[in-house]
Amino acid sequence: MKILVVEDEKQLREIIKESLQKDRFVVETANDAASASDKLEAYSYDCVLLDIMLPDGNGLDILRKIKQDGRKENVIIISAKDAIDDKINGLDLGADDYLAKPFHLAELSARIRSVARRNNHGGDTTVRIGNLEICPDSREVSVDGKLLDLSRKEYDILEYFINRRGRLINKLTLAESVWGDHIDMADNFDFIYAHIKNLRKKLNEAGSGIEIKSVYGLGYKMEENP
Amino acid sequence: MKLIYKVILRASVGMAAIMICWSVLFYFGMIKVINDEIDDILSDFSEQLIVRFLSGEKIPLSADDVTGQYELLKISEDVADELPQVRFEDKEMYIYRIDDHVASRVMKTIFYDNTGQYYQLTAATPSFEKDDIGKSLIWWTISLYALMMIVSIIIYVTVFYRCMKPFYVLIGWLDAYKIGQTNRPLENPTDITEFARLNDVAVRTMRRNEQIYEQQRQFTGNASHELQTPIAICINRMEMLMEDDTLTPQQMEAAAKVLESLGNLQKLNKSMLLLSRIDSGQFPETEKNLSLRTIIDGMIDDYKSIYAHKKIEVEYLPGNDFHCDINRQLATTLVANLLKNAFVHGDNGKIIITLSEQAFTISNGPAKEALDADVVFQRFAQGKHRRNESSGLGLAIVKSICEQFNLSVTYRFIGNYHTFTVEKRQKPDDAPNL
Repeated sequence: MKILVVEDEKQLREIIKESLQKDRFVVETANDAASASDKLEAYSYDCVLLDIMLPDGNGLDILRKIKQDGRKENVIIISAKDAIDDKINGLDLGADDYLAKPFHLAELSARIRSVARRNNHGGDTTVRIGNLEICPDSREVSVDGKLLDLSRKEYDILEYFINRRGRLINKLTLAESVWGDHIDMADNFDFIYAHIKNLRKKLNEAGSGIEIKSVYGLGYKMEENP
Repeated sequence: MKLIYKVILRASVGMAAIMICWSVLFYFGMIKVINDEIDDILSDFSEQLIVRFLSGEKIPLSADDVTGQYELLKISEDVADELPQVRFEDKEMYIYRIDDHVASRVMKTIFYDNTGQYYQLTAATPSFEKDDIGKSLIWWTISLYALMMIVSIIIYVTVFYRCMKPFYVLIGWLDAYKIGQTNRPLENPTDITEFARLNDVAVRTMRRNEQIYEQQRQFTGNASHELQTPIAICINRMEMLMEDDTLTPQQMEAAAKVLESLGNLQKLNKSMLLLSRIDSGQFPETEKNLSLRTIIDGMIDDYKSIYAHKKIEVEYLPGNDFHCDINRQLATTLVANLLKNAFVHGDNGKIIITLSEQAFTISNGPAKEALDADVVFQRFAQGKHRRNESSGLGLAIVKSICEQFNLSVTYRFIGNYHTFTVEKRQKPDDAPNL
């Protein structure tokens, strides 16, 4: 997949590039509205990561242009302005997703994958990994066609891991994503461990080919068993 | 004490002192005048008698006259030498004409005839009762004082409030003034120079405060906003670093610690940004009659599971609800911060959540001692209760949200429980209390 990153902040642009390259995406970058427009004129991309505040213009104008020209690029807005208005404006103009800065890199990859899936498979968002199938629309998980009985939180955790497989997931990030921002003051993450333990047990019993590994002191990582 | 009472009290004390001095002086002055008059009469009377006696006219040794009564007494030369020639006395005398002892003025004159015989002429006439005069003077003084005070208080109060009206209008305005919010302009026309100046100074001071406040608020907002990206980049770099499989466990552990601190920094920065956005009114959408119970229901179970290791008993009974007009996102933050606060500081204790039409109350305890109610809502004011997982801004955010939406939040220590109460604020009474 080929991605164009439009971001004026050098450090952030570089780290997004590195991280996405690690996920085997092909990454091009633009540091202002003019060079972004030039690149979009010359090439086509699968996905554009668009910063709204650019030194020489507004990212929303680029978005408008993409949509006017009827191009098929998926657009994910990345902006430090997490005001609801901006978000609504962006989505109204046809952006596929909106990610408020600061974000976790794992989150970014997951969003790119999810947007691509939605648009490339005719709306079928089902994800298959080995013998495991997860359908976000109906919130159903099956192994070898047999439905797994997961609690709400277990499902949320599994979906989070599936979208970020192979990446290290920080306990705090996981907690914030699954439980919501209001848990960010928790000083003890035992409650996550309890859910992970149950999830592992259910996945093992069903004979799925994926494993949630603990990473010392930090969090977890989901891996596919060969 | 109100200024007018102070003025009246001081004026009364001053007036009382003046009235007392005045009545004492008046008393003595009056007595002097009366005595002078009587003494003149007695002198004339005595002179006539002495002239008649010396001219050889036979007059009785004592007699009663219309003017007064007299007594003529022979005295020896020695006695006469010791006494002054004329002397006046006040004393009780038996007056024949009245047939009673009355207060009298007595004049004693010493003279001698051509034989060298000394005589003392005692002439007396009834004068007045000093006690009576004194008493009536006191009575009059008190009555006059009371009358004067009543009249002066009426005059004082009328004049005072007429003159001080601009002052009270200004106090009312300052009282109702809330920095950083929309305030009504000061309408206080006056032709009194001092008050006009005071108005001017008050308006200028408030404008300056407003500017400083705005600058500070913008600075905090901009600073936190600008910090966001570098912090995010640090976190992202650390995350990438930790995905490197060649790291040793020790390196991993060190990196995890750095990441944790960065996470705290990010949380703190987010809280500051939120606070600055609340204070600058960036959450204008208000939902009418939002139910807090719905919001609490949505998060209480998460909290219970997150803090299960703290073994906290939660008492949250179904029933009444508290409704208010508030932004939904901020209502969630408000409830979350109060719940978080109770859970974080509630080890092995109990949390009681009560809702009524009037108030939303959350208590946690039992605790040994009360928090300092004056600073509990101040930013970073954690004192000895500091916890690592707490940013020190949670309750400050609660307070800011309440202020934005006309709610009040108060802290009390009731029955060993830290109790936070959110209520609808009464309409502020900004009319000056005249």
